[in-house]
This record gives sequence, structure tokens and C-alpha cells, in this order.
Amino acid sequence: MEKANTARSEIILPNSFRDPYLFEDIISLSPPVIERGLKCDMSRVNFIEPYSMVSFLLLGRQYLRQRGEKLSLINIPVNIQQYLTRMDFFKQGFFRITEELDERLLLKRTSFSRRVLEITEIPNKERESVLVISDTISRFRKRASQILKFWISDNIIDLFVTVISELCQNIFEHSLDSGYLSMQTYSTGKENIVRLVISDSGIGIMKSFENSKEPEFDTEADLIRLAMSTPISSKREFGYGLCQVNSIVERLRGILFIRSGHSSVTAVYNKKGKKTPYMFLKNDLNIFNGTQISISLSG
Amino acid sequence: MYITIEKIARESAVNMPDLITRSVGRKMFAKISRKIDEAGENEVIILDFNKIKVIDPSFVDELLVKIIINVMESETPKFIKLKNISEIAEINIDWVFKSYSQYNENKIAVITENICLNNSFFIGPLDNSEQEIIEFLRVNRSANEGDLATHTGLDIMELKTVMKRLNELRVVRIINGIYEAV
Repeated sequence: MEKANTARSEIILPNSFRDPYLFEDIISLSPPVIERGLKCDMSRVNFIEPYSMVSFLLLGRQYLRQRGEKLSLINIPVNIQQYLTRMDFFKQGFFRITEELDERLLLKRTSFSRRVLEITEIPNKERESVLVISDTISRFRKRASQILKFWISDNIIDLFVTVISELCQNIFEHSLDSGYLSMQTYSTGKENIVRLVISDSGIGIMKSFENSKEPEFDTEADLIRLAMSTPISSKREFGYGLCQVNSIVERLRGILFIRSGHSSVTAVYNKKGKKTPYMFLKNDLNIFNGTQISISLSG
Repeated sequence: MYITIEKIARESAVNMPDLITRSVGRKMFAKISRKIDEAGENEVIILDFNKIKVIDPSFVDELLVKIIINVMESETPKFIKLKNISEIAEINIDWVFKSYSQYNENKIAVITENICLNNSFFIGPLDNSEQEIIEFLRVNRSANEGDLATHTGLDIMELKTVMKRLNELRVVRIINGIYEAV
């Protein structure tokens, strides 16, 4: 929805920050926002989960890169601004906000810290990235008992360490751009959800395989599915990371969502074996640069 | 030869308790492979992973896969044995070894000091007769062809082929014509 404004046009963003599928609404609005330099009115947004937050951050970065200025956010509800501030969303420097929160309204880090990993930039240079990955994993280990407190599974913390390490390495190995990580446990109704998000706005999975002879695939979503199930790599003979991440998510009966370019693949492992489809492939989505990955468990 | 992985990791300024990333794997491979080079013919090199929690697939690929391939290709036979592997480390090693073997003509495996999730003392995609031989040698420490042929039911020619393969995989030693456990 768009309305006239004397200084500049603005667009009212729909309340579509609740999960990766709804966030497609926001992606579809990004071309006019970037091309016309629209301000984003957040007044209708009443909830933001980590995947949508990190993806929105990437849109902000894209806006800054293309227009040379920060994306303006207006009418941000207090609870949303509190959350985004707490998650270090504004610290990344891609957004302009008209009103800073009063310090008394800021969420205290001591009371909330243990259930989140704030947005962390994963550099695209190996040397720097390895240090950040190591620090992030140390931070995750310190908070893991709170982040994963609703999930009792053998080795679950160690399994997530493997997942974080492998997906972060994929950023500097394949994307040619830096990326971001965030993690949080939150509740919707009676359901507790933990979501880990690792995303970048680099070249995407399809382009990273452009110069490889193997593998053969029909669509971009087929390639994503292949990379999840076969140790293919665009850089070396084999790549074990994404395959092992997929296998860990299956072991934990979680949900793995991968979006890259025009496509997405969702593997809903808690539905596997129930005679219903558990793998969903989509092609012809709106273009979204890079690779965005969400791993969630519900309980 | 006994190599304490934790010690090498500390010398390499690696954040403990996890050994993750290709970069760390490469750094540790350089140090460990120099030590392995010093091992003598038919020597068993124990890699002790005590106090290590996660080793991720990238680290496994850069360190363990390369060590195993090096000892397999070495003209002087040397043998690797893993000790105190955590459950998640074993899961990741097993994944990488199985994937490597599935998509490559070379199978790789490694002997372990402690019992694994597969109720055996090795990691890697060995077939049933190979598993049986590894277990027989672990219990009896050494055996000749006759013992093994009787135990497995394989004829001598088949047995020779299997034992040659297991020796090439560096999971069975052959010393003076006798088969020995690693």
C-alpha cells in the first residue's frame, strides 16, 4: 500500500514478518522501494521473527548499496523498535529512523540475553570469518542452555555448533559477500520455536555452480535440493557442509528452509513419514540476492 | 606414537573445546602430519581427542581425511587409531567418510580405541566381512589366514583379497605374514 507524501512517497509494509513464507510479501515490495527511494512505514507490523529481521536487514543493505543512502523506517511500533534495537538491527548502519527510543524503554540485556544471539556479521574473508565463527560459537555455548531449554535431545548443543560452523563457512567460501547470523527462542501461542538464521546477499547457490561441470539439474530449486542431499561443491571435489546440516535438521525433526535467487526449498522433517509431503520446492519467486537459510525447531 | 590433539590445538591458539573450520583443520594438519612423518614402519599413531567436543565436517575433511589418505598412500605402512572421540565428532567423521566413499572410488575408514555408535571399533563404511575381521582381530590381537578363513567362512583366495584391501585401508597390519589389529 502506497500513499502520497509531500516530501517523498512512502509505503506501508504489511504485517508479513512472521515467517519466511509471509516475508515473500516484503521481498515483492523491495523493487519499488529501492527504485523509487520509498520510506517504509512499519505501523502495521506487530511481530518480527529472526528470518524476517535478517532478510529485511539484507534489503536495507541492498538499498544502501544501490541508492547510496540509508532506508528510512517510519512509524515503528515501540515493541518492534525495542526488539530490533535489542537484536542490534540498527547497529549495522543500513536504516534511518526518525525517533530513537527513550533509554528507559530499551530492553535490558541482562534479562533477555540468554535466549538470543544478536545479529552478527560474518565477514567474507576467511581469516576474519574464522575468528567471528569461533567467537559466535563461544557465545552460543554460553547461552545454549537457555536458547534450547525447551528441546531435550542428545547432543543438541553440539549439533547446533556443527550447523552454525558449516553454514557460516559457506558464506565466505561461496557467496563472495558477507552475511549475518541470528538466533532466538520465542513463543507463538502454546508453541515454542527456536530459529537460527544465516543469510547473505552474495551470488547465490545457482551462480556459485555456474562454472562447475557437475551437477545436472532442471531448476534452481532442484539444485538447492541436490546440494542438501549430495556432497556437491562448487569449489572442491566434495562439500559436506550443507548435506550434514540437512541431515542434522532431519535428526532433530526440524524445518530447514533455504531461499536463493528465485527459488526456495523447505524440508519439514517433523512431517516426514506421515504419508504427507515434507519437501516443498518453489521456483519463479521474486529475485532475492544471495542465500538465506532458516532452521527451526518447534516444541 | 601418541598425539594429544588438545595440546596441538592449544599450541595453534585454537578456541576450545571445538575444532571447527577448514582453516583450523589445515593449520593442525600441518603440525600433526610432521609428527606422523616421524613414525616408523607399521607403527600405530594414536590421535587422542580427549576434551574435544565438536569437530565439524570441514575440519574432518582438512585434517582426518588428509591424514588417512596420506597413510594409505605412504610407502612405509603406518596406522591411525582415534581415541576419546565425542559422539558428535563421531557422527561428523562417519558422515564425511561415508560421503567420501560413496562418491569416490576410494573407501576410507579408521580404527578407534573406544566403542562407536555402530557397536564396533571403527568409523567408516566397511562391509560385513570386513567388520567381522576387524572385530576378530581386535579380540585376538593377531591371526593367520587359516584362523580368519575358518572364522569368516571365506576361501583363502577371497580372504587374501579382503585382507589386502583392509591393509591398504590401514585398518589391519600385516607383520611377517601375520595379520594384526591396529
